Amino acid sequence: MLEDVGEVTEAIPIPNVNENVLKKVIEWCEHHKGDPPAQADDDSDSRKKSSDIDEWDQKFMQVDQEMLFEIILAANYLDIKPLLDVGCKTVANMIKGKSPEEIRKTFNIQNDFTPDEEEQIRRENEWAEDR
Amino acid sequence: MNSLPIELTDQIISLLPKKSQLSVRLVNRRFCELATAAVFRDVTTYFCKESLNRLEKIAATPRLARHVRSFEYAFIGVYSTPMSFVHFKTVLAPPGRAYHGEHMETFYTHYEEQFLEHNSLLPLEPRILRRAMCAFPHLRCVTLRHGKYDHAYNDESWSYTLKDVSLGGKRAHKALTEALAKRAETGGGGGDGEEGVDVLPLEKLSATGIPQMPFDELLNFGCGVGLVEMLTTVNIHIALQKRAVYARFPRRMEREDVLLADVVSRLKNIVNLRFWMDECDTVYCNDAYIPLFPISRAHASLSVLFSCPPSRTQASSHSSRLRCTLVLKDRNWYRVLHPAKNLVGRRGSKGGRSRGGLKGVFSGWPKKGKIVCLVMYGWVFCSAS
Repeated sequence: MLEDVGEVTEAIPIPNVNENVLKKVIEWCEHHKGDPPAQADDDSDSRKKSSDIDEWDQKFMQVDQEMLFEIILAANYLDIKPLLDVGCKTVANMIKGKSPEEIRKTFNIQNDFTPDEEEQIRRENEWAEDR
Repeated sequence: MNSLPIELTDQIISLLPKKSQLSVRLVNRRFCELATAAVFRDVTTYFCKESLNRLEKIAATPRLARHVRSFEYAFIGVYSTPMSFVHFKTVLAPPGRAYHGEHMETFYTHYEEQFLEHNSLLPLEPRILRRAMCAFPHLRCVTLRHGKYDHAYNDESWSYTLKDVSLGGKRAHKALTEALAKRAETGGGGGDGEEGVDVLPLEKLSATGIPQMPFDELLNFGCGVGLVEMLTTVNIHIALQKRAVYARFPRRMEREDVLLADVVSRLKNIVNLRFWMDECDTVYCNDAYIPLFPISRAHASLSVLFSCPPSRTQASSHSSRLRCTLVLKDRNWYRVLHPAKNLVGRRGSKGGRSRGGLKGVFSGWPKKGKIVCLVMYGWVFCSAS
Protein backbone atom coordinates (compact mmCIF):
# COMPACT_ATOMS: atom_id res chain seq x y z
CA MET A 1 0.00 0.00 0.00
CA LEU A 2 2.83 2.34 0.93
CA GLU A 3 4.48 1.51 -2.37
CA ASP A 4 1.26 2.47 -4.13
CA VAL A 5 0.88 5.87 -2.50
CA GLY A 6 4.58 6.75 -2.49
CA GLU A 7 6.25 8.82 0.23
CA VAL A 8 3.70 10.62 2.40
CA THR A 9 3.81 12.38 5.73
CA GLU A 10 0.08 12.51 6.44
CA ALA A 11 -1.99 9.67 7.83
CA ILE A 12 -3.25 7.14 5.30
CA PRO A 13 -6.99 6.53 5.62
CA ILE A 14 -8.04 2.88 5.62
CA PRO A 15 -11.82 3.17 5.50
CA ASN A 16 -12.37 -0.55 4.99
CA VAL A 17 -10.92 -1.50 8.37
CA ASN A 18 -12.59 -0.50 11.62
CA GLU A 19 -10.80 0.26 14.88
CA ASN A 20 -11.31 -3.11 16.59
CA VAL A 21 -10.17 -5.03 13.56
CA LEU A 22 -7.17 -2.78 13.06
CA LYS A 23 -6.17 -3.34 16.69
CA LYS A 24 -6.27 -7.09 16.11
CA VAL A 25 -4.25 -6.75 12.92
CA ILE A 26 -1.64 -4.62 14.69
CA GLU A 27 -1.53 -7.14 17.57
CA TRP A 28 -0.85 -9.90 15.04
CA CYS A 29 1.80 -7.85 13.27
CA GLU A 30 3.51 -7.01 16.56
CA HIS A 31 3.71 -10.66 17.48
CA HIS A 32 5.06 -11.68 14.08
CA LYS A 33 7.36 -8.76 13.42
CA GLY A 34 10.46 -10.96 13.96
CA ASP A 35 9.30 -13.69 11.55
CA PRO A 36 11.46 -14.29 8.50
CA PRO A 37 9.83 -12.91 5.36
CA ALA A 38 7.89 -15.47 3.34
CA GLN A 39 9.12 -16.32 -0.13
CA ALA A 40 7.19 -14.50 -2.84
CA ASP A 41 6.46 -17.70 -4.72
CA ASP A 42 6.07 -19.88 -1.63
CA ASP A 43 3.70 -22.58 -2.71
CA SER A 44 4.89 -25.24 -0.31
CA ASP A 45 2.74 -27.91 1.29
CA SER A 46 2.79 -26.15 4.66
CA ARG A 47 1.11 -23.14 3.10
CA LYS A 48 -1.53 -25.38 1.62
CA LYS A 49 -2.16 -27.43 4.75
CA SER A 50 -5.00 -25.87 6.64
CA SER A 51 -4.02 -27.67 9.85
CA ASP A 52 -0.63 -25.97 9.90
CA ILE A 53 -1.39 -23.02 12.18
CA ASP A 54 0.85 -22.25 15.13
CA GLU A 55 -0.58 -22.21 18.64
CA TRP A 56 -0.49 -18.47 19.15
CA ASP A 57 -2.27 -17.87 15.86
CA GLN A 58 -4.91 -20.46 16.74
CA LYS A 59 -5.66 -18.61 19.97
CA PHE A 60 -5.54 -15.29 18.16
CA MET A 61 -8.17 -16.49 15.72
CA GLN A 62 -10.53 -17.64 18.46
CA VAL A 63 -12.95 -14.79 17.82
CA ASP A 64 -16.53 -14.65 16.66
CA GLN A 65 -17.20 -15.33 13.00
CA GLU A 66 -17.89 -11.72 12.13
CA MET A 67 -14.52 -10.64 13.52
CA LEU A 68 -12.76 -13.55 11.82
CA PHE A 69 -14.09 -12.53 8.42
CA GLU A 70 -13.29 -8.88 9.14
CA ILE A 71 -9.69 -9.85 9.92
CA ILE A 72 -9.47 -11.82 6.69
CA LEU A 73 -10.87 -8.90 4.71
CA ALA A 74 -8.51 -6.48 6.43
CA ALA A 75 -5.52 -8.73 5.80
CA ASN A 76 -6.53 -8.92 2.17
CA TYR A 77 -7.04 -5.15 1.92
CA LEU A 78 -3.78 -4.36 3.70
CA ASP A 79 -1.99 -7.10 1.74
CA ILE A 80 -0.73 -8.98 4.81
CA LYS A 81 -0.38 -12.37 3.18
CA PRO A 82 0.66 -14.45 6.24
CA LEU A 83 -2.31 -13.15 8.23
CA LEU A 84 -4.60 -13.81 5.29
CA ASP A 85 -3.26 -17.37 5.13
CA VAL A 86 -3.90 -17.93 8.84
CA GLY A 87 -7.43 -16.56 8.49
CA CYS A 88 -8.23 -18.72 5.47
CA LYS A 89 -6.77 -21.80 7.17
CA THR A 90 -8.91 -21.12 10.24
CA VAL A 91 -12.07 -20.98 8.13
CA ALA A 92 -10.97 -24.10 6.22
CA ASN A 93 -10.57 -25.89 9.54
CA MET A 94 -14.09 -24.89 10.48
CA ILE A 95 -15.36 -26.58 7.30
CA LYS A 96 -13.17 -29.66 7.35
CA GLY A 97 -14.90 -32.90 8.29
CA LYS A 98 -18.37 -31.36 8.33
CA SER A 99 -21.38 -32.52 6.33
CA PRO A 100 -23.07 -30.04 3.97
CA GLU A 101 -25.81 -29.51 6.52
CA GLU A 102 -23.29 -28.83 9.30
CA ILE A 103 -21.46 -26.35 7.08
CA ARG A 104 -24.73 -24.53 6.37
CA LYS A 105 -25.48 -24.43 10.08
CA THR A 106 -21.99 -23.22 11.02
CA PHE A 107 -22.03 -20.33 8.57
CA ASN A 108 -25.76 -19.72 8.48
CA ILE A 109 -26.09 -20.49 4.79
CA GLN A 110 -29.39 -21.17 3.05
CA ASN A 111 -29.74 -24.26 0.90
CA ASP A 112 -31.11 -23.05 -2.44
CA PHE A 113 -30.88 -26.37 -4.28
CA THR A 114 -33.95 -28.16 -5.59
CA PRO A 115 -34.01 -31.87 -4.67
CA ASP A 116 -33.20 -32.76 -8.28
CA GLU A 117 -30.22 -30.42 -8.36
CA GLU A 118 -28.93 -31.81 -5.10
CA GLU A 119 -29.24 -35.35 -6.43
CA GLN A 120 -27.34 -34.35 -9.56
CA ILE A 121 -24.52 -32.82 -7.49
CA ARG A 122 -24.29 -35.98 -5.43
CA ARG A 123 -23.96 -38.04 -8.62
CA GLU A 124 -21.25 -35.70 -9.95
CA ASN A 125 -19.39 -35.95 -6.65
CA GLU A 126 -19.00 -39.67 -7.25
CA TRP A 127 -17.26 -38.96 -10.57
CA ALA A 128 -14.72 -36.76 -8.84
CA GLU A 129 -13.36 -39.44 -6.58
CA ASP A 130 -9.93 -40.76 -7.56
CA ARG A 131 -10.33 -44.48 -7.26
CA MET B 1 -18.95 -16.45 4.88
CA ASN B 2 -21.11 -14.87 2.20
CA SER B 3 -19.38 -11.58 3.03
CA LEU B 4 -16.07 -12.82 1.66
CA PRO B 5 -15.24 -12.02 -1.96
CA ILE B 6 -15.08 -14.90 -4.43
CA GLU B 7 -11.28 -15.03 -4.57
CA LEU B 8 -11.00 -15.46 -0.81
CA THR B 9 -13.71 -18.10 -0.67
CA ASP B 10 -11.92 -19.82 -3.51
CA GLN B 11 -8.66 -19.69 -1.55
CA ILE B 12 -10.35 -21.24 1.49
CA ILE B 13 -11.88 -24.02 -0.60
CA SER B 14 -8.51 -24.77 -2.18
CA LEU B 15 -7.12 -25.47 1.31
CA LEU B 16 -9.67 -28.20 1.91
CA PRO B 17 -9.16 -31.88 1.27
CA LYS B 18 -11.19 -33.23 -1.62
CA LYS B 19 -13.77 -34.88 0.63
CA SER B 20 -14.58 -31.53 2.21
CA GLN B 21 -14.64 -29.83 -1.18
CA LEU B 22 -17.26 -32.36 -2.23
CA SER B 23 -19.31 -31.46 0.85
CA VAL B 24 -19.01 -27.76 0.00
CA ARG B 25 -20.47 -28.51 -3.44
CA LEU B 26 -23.63 -29.58 -1.66
CA VAL B 27 -23.99 -26.47 0.51
CA ASN B 28 -25.70 -24.17 -1.95
CA ARG B 29 -25.44 -22.98 -5.56
CA ARG B 30 -22.79 -20.34 -4.92
CA PHE B 31 -20.52 -22.69 -3.03
CA CYS B 32 -21.19 -25.44 -5.51
CA GLU B 33 -19.92 -23.26 -8.35
CA LEU B 34 -16.76 -22.33 -6.42
CA ALA B 35 -15.99 -25.83 -5.19
CA THR B 36 -16.64 -27.39 -8.60
CA ALA B 37 -13.66 -25.53 -10.01
CA ALA B 38 -11.44 -26.91 -7.25
CA VAL B 39 -12.82 -30.44 -7.39
CA PHE B 40 -12.53 -30.90 -11.15
CA ARG B 41 -9.34 -28.92 -11.69
CA ASP B 42 -7.21 -32.09 -11.52
CA VAL B 43 -8.69 -35.28 -12.93
CA THR B 44 -6.96 -38.62 -12.46
CA THR B 45 -8.09 -41.67 -14.37
CA TYR B 46 -6.95 -45.25 -13.95
CA PHE B 47 -7.17 -48.06 -16.42
CA CYS B 48 -10.26 -49.69 -14.99
CA LYS B 49 -13.88 -49.70 -15.99
CA GLU B 50 -15.16 -47.55 -13.15
CA SER B 51 -12.53 -44.87 -13.55
CA LEU B 52 -12.86 -44.63 -17.32
CA ASN B 53 -16.64 -44.44 -16.94
CA ARG B 54 -16.22 -41.49 -14.59
CA LEU B 55 -13.92 -39.78 -17.06
CA GLU B 56 -16.50 -40.29 -19.79
CA LYS B 57 -19.18 -38.69 -17.63
CA ILE B 58 -17.04 -35.68 -16.71
CA ALA B 59 -16.17 -35.18 -20.38
CA ALA B 60 -19.84 -35.35 -21.30
CA THR B 61 -20.79 -32.65 -18.78
CA PRO B 62 -19.52 -29.30 -20.13
CA ARG B 63 -20.00 -27.37 -16.87
CA LEU B 64 -17.57 -29.82 -15.21
CA ALA B 65 -15.28 -30.35 -18.20
CA ARG B 66 -14.56 -26.65 -18.52
CA HIS B 67 -12.84 -26.66 -15.11
CA VAL B 68 -10.34 -29.41 -15.94
CA ARG B 69 -6.83 -27.99 -16.09
CA SER B 70 -4.78 -31.09 -15.41
CA PHE B 71 -5.39 -34.66 -16.50
CA GLU B 72 -3.44 -37.66 -15.33
CA TYR B 73 -3.84 -41.11 -16.78
CA ALA B 74 -2.29 -44.08 -15.01
CA PHE B 75 -2.30 -47.18 -17.07
CA ILE B 76 0.38 -49.65 -16.10
CA GLY B 77 0.34 -49.60 -12.32
CA VAL B 78 -2.70 -51.81 -12.36
CA TYR B 79 -0.91 -54.40 -14.44
CA SER B 80 1.50 -55.22 -11.68
CA THR B 81 -1.31 -56.96 -9.88
CA PRO B 82 -1.43 -59.94 -12.20
CA MET B 83 2.31 -60.27 -11.82
CA SER B 84 1.90 -60.47 -8.08
CA PHE B 85 -0.73 -63.04 -8.76
CA VAL B 86 1.65 -64.97 -10.98
CA HIS B 87 4.24 -64.81 -8.25
CA PHE B 88 1.72 -66.14 -5.79
CA LYS B 89 0.62 -68.86 -8.14
CA THR B 90 4.07 -70.09 -9.08
CA VAL B 91 6.01 -69.56 -5.87
CA LEU B 92 3.58 -69.69 -2.98
CA ALA B 93 1.03 -72.04 -4.41
CA PRO B 94 2.48 -73.97 -7.34
CA PRO B 95 0.34 -76.56 -9.13
CA GLY B 96 0.26 -79.87 -7.31
CA ARG B 97 0.74 -78.30 -3.93
CA ALA B 98 -2.17 -78.53 -1.57
CA TYR B 99 -2.83 -74.83 -1.22
CA HIS B 100 -6.09 -74.34 -2.98
CA GLY B 101 -8.33 -73.32 -0.18
CA GLU B 102 -11.08 -70.74 -0.14
CA HIS B 103 -8.67 -67.79 0.01
CA MET B 104 -6.73 -68.99 -2.99
CA GLU B 105 -9.91 -69.29 -4.99
CA THR B 106 -11.03 -65.79 -4.02
CA PHE B 107 -7.62 -64.46 -4.87
CA TYR B 108 -7.58 -66.22 -8.22
CA THR B 109 -11.13 -65.18 -9.12
CA HIS B 110 -10.44 -61.56 -8.27
CA TYR B 111 -7.50 -61.27 -10.64
CA GLU B 112 -9.11 -63.39 -13.30
CA GLU B 113 -11.99 -60.89 -13.31
CA GLN B 114 -9.60 -58.00 -13.36
CA PHE B 115 -7.85 -59.42 -16.39
CA LEU B 116 -11.11 -59.90 -18.22
CA GLU B 117 -12.06 -56.32 -17.38
CA HIS B 118 -8.76 -54.98 -18.65
CA ASN B 119 -9.02 -56.83 -21.91
CA SER B 120 -12.60 -55.69 -22.45
CA LEU B 121 -11.49 -52.08 -21.90
CA LEU B 122 -8.68 -52.09 -24.42
CA PRO B 123 -10.86 -51.32 -27.46
CA LEU B 124 -12.88 -48.67 -25.57
CA GLU B 125 -10.01 -46.83 -23.91
CA PRO B 126 -8.70 -44.84 -26.91
CA ARG B 127 -12.16 -43.53 -27.78
CA ILE B 128 -12.83 -42.41 -24.20
CA LEU B 129 -9.46 -40.69 -23.92
CA ARG B 130 -9.80 -39.00 -27.29
CA ARG B 131 -13.22 -37.65 -26.37
CA ALA B 132 -11.99 -36.43 -23.02
CA MET B 133 -9.05 -34.58 -24.56
CA CYS B 134 -11.42 -32.79 -26.90
CA ALA B 135 -13.93 -32.05 -24.15
CA PHE B 136 -11.57 -30.22 -21.79
CA PRO B 137 -11.24 -26.76 -23.31
CA HIS B 138 -8.88 -25.37 -20.68
CA LEU B 139 -6.60 -28.36 -20.29
CA ARG B 140 -3.07 -27.26 -19.46
CA CYS B 141 -1.26 -30.31 -18.22
CA VAL B 142 -1.41 -33.97 -19.20
CA THR B 143 0.50 -36.71 -17.44
CA LEU B 144 0.68 -40.31 -18.54
CA ARG B 145 1.78 -42.29 -15.55
CA HIS B 146 3.20 -45.75 -15.71
CA GLY B 147 3.45 -48.03 -12.74
CA LYS B 148 6.53 -49.87 -11.68
CA TYR B 149 7.32 -52.85 -13.79
CA ASP B 150 7.57 -56.14 -11.92
CA HIS B 151 10.92 -57.80 -12.55
CA ALA B 152 9.75 -61.08 -11.09
CA TYR B 153 7.41 -61.65 -13.95
CA ASN B 154 8.27 -64.85 -15.76
CA ASP B 155 5.14 -66.84 -16.33
CA GLU B 156 4.45 -67.80 -19.92
CA SER B 157 0.76 -68.25 -19.42
CA TRP B 158 0.31 -64.56 -18.71
CA SER B 159 2.62 -63.11 -21.30
CA TYR B 160 -0.02 -62.77 -23.98
CA THR B 161 -2.08 -60.68 -21.64
CA LEU B 162 0.77 -58.44 -20.69
CA LYS B 163 1.63 -57.94 -24.33
CA ASP B 164 -1.95 -57.02 -25.12
CA VAL B 165 -2.02 -54.67 -22.21
CA SER B 166 1.24 -53.02 -23.25
CA LEU B 167 -0.11 -52.52 -26.71
CA GLY B 168 -3.22 -51.15 -25.10
CA GLY B 169 -0.98 -48.64 -23.38
CA LYS B 170 0.40 -47.69 -26.77
CA ARG B 171 -3.09 -47.19 -28.07
CA ALA B 172 -3.90 -45.01 -25.10
CA HIS B 173 -0.85 -42.89 -25.76
CA LYS B 174 -1.71 -42.63 -29.41
CA ALA B 175 -5.27 -41.59 -28.72
CA LEU B 176 -4.23 -38.99 -26.20
CA THR B 177 -1.42 -37.55 -28.18
CA GLU B 178 -3.26 -37.49 -31.48
CA ALA B 179 -6.01 -35.47 -29.88
CA LEU B 180 -3.49 -33.15 -28.26
CA ALA B 181 -1.50 -32.75 -31.46
CA LYS B 182 -4.70 -31.86 -33.28
CA ARG B 183 -5.35 -29.16 -30.73
CA ALA B 184 -1.81 -27.90 -31.17
CA GLU B 185 -2.26 -27.72 -34.94
CA THR B 186 -5.47 -25.80 -34.67
CA GLY B 187 -4.10 -23.37 -32.14
CA GLY B 188 -5.59 -25.17 -29.19
CA GLY B 189 -9.01 -25.76 -27.77
CA GLY B 190 -8.60 -22.97 -25.28
CA GLY B 191 -12.03 -21.65 -26.03
CA ASP B 192 -11.09 -18.08 -25.17
CA GLY B 193 -8.83 -17.79 -28.23
CA GLU B 194 -5.91 -16.40 -26.29
CA GLU B 195 -3.38 -18.85 -27.66
CA GLY B 196 -1.63 -18.20 -30.92
CA VAL B 197 -1.16 -20.91 -33.47
CA ASP B 198 2.50 -21.31 -32.61
CA VAL B 199 1.90 -21.89 -28.93
CA LEU B 200 0.72 -25.23 -27.72
CA PRO B 201 -2.15 -24.69 -25.32
CA LEU B 202 -0.72 -27.26 -22.96
CA GLU B 203 1.87 -26.10 -20.52
CA LYS B 204 3.06 -29.56 -19.76
CA LEU B 205 2.73 -32.97 -21.30
CA SER B 206 4.61 -35.65 -19.48
CA ALA B 207 4.98 -39.36 -19.24
CA THR B 208 6.44 -40.66 -16.04
CA GLY B 209 7.63 -44.01 -14.89
CA ILE B 210 8.68 -45.48 -18.21
CA PRO B 211 12.39 -45.36 -17.37
CA GLN B 212 11.64 -47.75 -14.53
CA MET B 213 10.53 -50.33 -17.03
CA PRO B 214 13.34 -52.65 -18.10
CA PHE B 215 13.94 -51.81 -21.70
CA ASP B 216 14.96 -55.33 -22.72
CA GLU B 217 11.81 -56.76 -21.24
CA LEU B 218 9.76 -54.37 -23.26
CA LEU B 219 11.66 -55.36 -26.36
CA ASN B 220 10.81 -58.95 -25.64
CA PHE B 221 7.20 -58.01 -25.73
CA GLY B 222 7.75 -56.34 -29.03
CA CYS B 223 6.67 -52.92 -27.96
CA GLY B 224 9.79 -51.23 -26.61
CA VAL B 225 11.04 -49.56 -29.73
CA GLY B 226 7.51 -49.06 -30.99
CA LEU B 227 6.59 -47.25 -27.81
CA VAL B 228 9.64 -45.05 -27.99
CA GLU B 229 9.07 -44.30 -31.64
CA MET B 230 5.53 -43.37 -31.00
CA LEU B 231 6.36 -41.14 -28.06
CA THR B 232 9.14 -39.34 -29.87
CA THR B 233 6.99 -38.96 -32.95
CA VAL B 234 4.30 -37.43 -30.88
CA ASN B 235 6.72 -35.13 -29.14
CA ILE B 236 8.14 -33.93 -32.34
CA HIS B 237 4.77 -33.61 -33.92
CA ILE B 238 3.70 -31.37 -31.10
CA ALA B 239 6.99 -29.52 -31.24
CA LEU B 240 6.41 -28.59 -34.87
CA GLN B 241 6.98 -24.91 -35.43
CA LYS B 242 8.69 -24.59 -32.12
CA ARG B 243 11.91 -22.71 -31.98
CA ALA B 244 13.71 -24.72 -29.37
CA VAL B 245 14.30 -28.29 -28.41
CA TYR B 246 15.65 -29.54 -25.16
CA ALA B 247 16.25 -33.24 -24.64
CA ARG B 248 17.13 -35.11 -21.52
CA PHE B 249 18.42 -38.65 -21.38
CA PRO B 250 16.99 -41.00 -18.77
CA ARG B 251 19.30 -42.74 -16.36
CA ARG B 252 18.49 -46.24 -17.47
CA MET B 253 18.57 -45.66 -21.18
CA GLU B 254 20.94 -48.22 -22.63
CA ARG B 255 19.91 -47.93 -26.24
CA GLU B 256 20.42 -44.25 -26.60
CA ASP B 257 22.17 -44.69 -29.94
CA VAL B 258 19.05 -46.25 -31.44
CA LEU B 259 16.84 -43.62 -29.94
CA LEU B 260 19.05 -40.77 -30.95
CA ALA B 261 19.30 -41.93 -34.52
CA ASP B 262 15.55 -42.12 -34.67
CA VAL B 263 14.91 -38.86 -32.93
CA VAL B 264 17.53 -36.92 -34.81
CA SER B 265 16.11 -37.99 -38.15
CA ARG B 266 12.71 -36.81 -37.01
CA LEU B 267 14.07 -33.55 -35.69
CA LYS B 268 15.07 -32.60 -39.19
CA ASN B 269 11.41 -32.04 -39.88
CA ILE B 270 10.99 -29.42 -37.21
CA VAL B 271 10.71 -26.04 -38.78
CA ASN B 272 12.00 -22.86 -37.23
CA LEU B 273 14.17 -24.71 -34.77
CA ARG B 274 16.51 -22.17 -33.22
CA PHE B 275 17.69 -23.80 -30.06
CA TRP B 276 18.81 -27.28 -29.20
CA MET B 277 19.93 -28.49 -25.85
CA ASP B 278 20.33 -31.92 -24.37
CA GLU B 279 20.89 -32.68 -20.75
CA CYS B 280 23.08 -35.66 -20.14
CA ASP B 281 24.01 -35.42 -16.50
CA THR B 282 22.59 -38.79 -15.68
CA VAL B 283 24.04 -41.02 -18.35
CA TYR B 284 26.73 -41.14 -20.96
CA CYS B 285 28.06 -37.74 -20.20
CA ASN B 286 31.19 -38.39 -22.22
CA ASP B 287 29.27 -38.99 -25.39
CA ALA B 288 26.74 -36.30 -24.81
CA TYR B 289 27.73 -34.28 -27.85
CA ILE B 290 26.99 -37.07 -30.31
CA PRO B 291 23.53 -35.83 -31.29
CA LEU B 292 24.74 -32.32 -31.87
CA PHE B 293 26.46 -33.05 -35.15
CA PRO B 294 23.58 -34.40 -37.21
CA ILE B 295 21.28 -31.78 -35.78
CA SER B 296 23.59 -28.99 -36.69
CA ARG B 297 23.81 -30.35 -40.22
CA ALA B 298 20.04 -30.53 -40.45
CA HIS B 299 19.52 -27.03 -39.12
CA ALA B 300 21.91 -24.53 -40.53
CA SER B 301 19.84 -21.81 -38.90
CA LEU B 302 20.49 -23.00 -35.36
CA SER B 303 21.48 -20.02 -33.30
CA VAL B 304 22.16 -21.90 -30.11
CA LEU B 305 23.35 -25.43 -29.90
CA PHE B 306 24.46 -26.81 -26.65
CA SER B 307 24.70 -29.88 -24.52
CA CYS B 308 25.43 -29.87 -20.85
CA PRO B 309 25.05 -31.51 -17.48
CA PRO B 310 23.10 -28.77 -15.70
CA SER B 311 23.19 -27.92 -12.07
CA ARG B 312 19.98 -29.14 -10.57
CA THR B 313 19.97 -26.38 -7.99
CA GLN B 314 20.31 -23.73 -10.61
CA ALA B 315 17.73 -25.41 -12.77
CA SER B 316 15.10 -25.54 -10.06
CA SER B 317 15.69 -22.05 -8.74
CA HIS B 318 15.36 -20.64 -12.23
CA SER B 319 12.63 -22.90 -13.45
CA SER B 320 10.49 -19.95 -14.45
CA ARG B 321 13.21 -18.92 -16.88
CA LEU B 322 13.84 -22.47 -17.87
CA ARG B 323 17.52 -23.10 -17.44
CA CYS B 324 18.69 -20.02 -19.23
CA THR B 325 21.18 -19.47 -16.43
CA LEU B 326 22.43 -22.99 -16.00
CA VAL B 327 25.93 -23.39 -14.69
CA LEU B 328 28.02 -26.43 -15.49
CA LYS B 329 29.56 -28.11 -12.51
CA ASP B 330 30.31 -31.55 -13.76
CA ARG B 331 33.99 -32.13 -14.51
CA ASN B 332 33.09 -33.46 -17.94
CA TRP B 333 31.50 -30.27 -19.06
CA TYR B 334 34.44 -29.13 -21.15
CA ARG B 335 34.25 -32.33 -23.13
CA VAL B 336 30.65 -31.49 -23.87
CA LEU B 337 31.09 -27.80 -24.48
CA HIS B 338 34.01 -28.13 -26.82
CA PRO B 339 32.24 -29.67 -29.83
CA ALA B 340 29.30 -27.36 -29.39
CA LYS B 341 31.63 -24.38 -29.42
CA ASN B 342 33.31 -25.60 -32.57
CA LEU B 343 30.03 -26.16 -34.29
CA VAL B 344 28.20 -22.95 -33.67
CA GLY B 345 30.75 -20.66 -32.10
CA ARG B 346 30.27 -18.88 -28.84
CA ARG B 347 28.14 -15.86 -28.38
CA GLY B 348 28.77 -13.03 -26.00
CA SER B 349 32.01 -14.24 -24.47
CA LYS B 350 35.59 -15.08 -25.21
CA GLY B 351 36.12 -17.20 -22.14
CA GLY B 352 36.86 -20.78 -23.13
CA ARG B 353 35.73 -22.72 -20.10
CA SER B 354 34.44 -19.89 -18.01
CA ARG B 355 30.90 -19.48 -16.77
CA GLY B 356 30.77 -16.29 -18.76
CA GLY B 357 31.30 -18.27 -21.90
CA LEU B 358 28.43 -20.50 -21.02
CA LYS B 359 26.14 -17.59 -20.28
CA GLY B 360 27.06 -16.29 -23.68
CA VAL B 361 25.94 -19.50 -25.27
CA PHE B 362 22.63 -19.16 -23.55
CA SER B 363 22.14 -15.56 -24.47
CA GLY B 364 19.94 -16.58 -27.38
CA TRP B 365 17.33 -17.90 -25.02
CA PRO B 366 14.59 -15.38 -24.38
CA LYS B 367 14.43 -13.97 -20.87
CA LYS B 368 10.71 -13.59 -21.01
CA GLY B 369 7.90 -15.22 -22.84
CA LYS B 370 5.82 -18.33 -22.61
CA ILE B 371 7.66 -21.59 -22.21
CA VAL B 372 6.19 -24.83 -23.44
CA CYS B 373 7.74 -27.94 -22.03
CA LEU B 374 6.99 -31.48 -23.09
CA VAL B 375 8.49 -34.42 -21.22
CA MET B 376 8.09 -37.91 -22.52
CA TYR B 377 10.18 -41.01 -22.07
CA GLY B 378 12.96 -38.95 -20.67
CA TRP B 379 12.85 -36.59 -23.60
CA VAL B 380 11.97 -33.05 -22.88
CA PHE B 381 11.00 -30.62 -25.56
CA CYS B 382 10.76 -27.01 -24.64
CA SER B 383 10.03 -23.94 -26.63
CA ALA B 384 9.63 -20.28 -25.95
CA SER B 385 7.09 -18.13 -27.66
